[in-house]
Amino acid sequence: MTERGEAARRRIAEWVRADPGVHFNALVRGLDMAPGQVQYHLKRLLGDRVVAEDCYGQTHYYPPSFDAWERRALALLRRETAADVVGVLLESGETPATEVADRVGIARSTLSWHTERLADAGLIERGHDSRGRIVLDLAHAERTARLLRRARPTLPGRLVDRFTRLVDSLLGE
Amino acid sequence: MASDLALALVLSVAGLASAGLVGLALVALLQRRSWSYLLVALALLTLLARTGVAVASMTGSVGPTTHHTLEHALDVAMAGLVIAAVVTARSARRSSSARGRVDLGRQGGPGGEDGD
Repeated sequence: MTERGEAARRRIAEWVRADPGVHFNALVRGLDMAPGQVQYHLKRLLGDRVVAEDCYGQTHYYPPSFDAWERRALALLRRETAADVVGVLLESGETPATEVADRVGIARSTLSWHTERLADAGLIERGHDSRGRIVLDLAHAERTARLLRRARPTLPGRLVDRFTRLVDSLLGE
Repeated sequence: MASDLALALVLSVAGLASAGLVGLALVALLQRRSWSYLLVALALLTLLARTGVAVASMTGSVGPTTHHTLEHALDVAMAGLVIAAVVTARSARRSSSARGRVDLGRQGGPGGEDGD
């Protein structure tokens, strides 16, 4: 009984290590375990082998090696559009906001919603160039690049992201 | 009989698809919390309500005349909600860009007043 429990906990901890920032539902689906079972084992893993963090209304699970900045950053980078914005900044460094919106192919309202969260979490910095335009840049390019490689958007997350892109571009601009 | 089956099938697909769309719109509304997103969610809800009316008519709880009127009333509601979403989006954008200028001014960035 305890051996089987320990095996289940090992599987959960391994899953979280492989997919840091995973949501509860995705964990249940991926491990093919009952939600109650996952919840029970997670409770025993918390603090020691798994860390939970509530970000933007959802609970994400991380290995304990992730610090608070990384946990929040990863939750944002799992959003397709935010990852695209960060991708442009990784490629070109400091870039005017209007150019970022054009290159990602999103409305300005979509960009400003994402940049507000990215700036709050300390991923990007906003400033002005010599012509007074708003420019965006990454606060910690190398750390962000490392996290971006590990961020995997979920299917429902992707759909919501694309829905908001569509609504913004239909109603905005 | 066969047409009943076809109608039931069409209504099931319409119900599932529109329920999925309403779900997406509600999650987007929770994220954005804006009037435009509320109106878009309500517009998509009329699509789901259309299926509901058709099911009620199929089971006999709504008469053919009421069914007809309700379906067209829902069309009017959808058109009205989308128009309202478009109008609200423009005014919301103007007020947020005005707010943006104030915030930029406060940060004291060079040329904050005439920034694009």
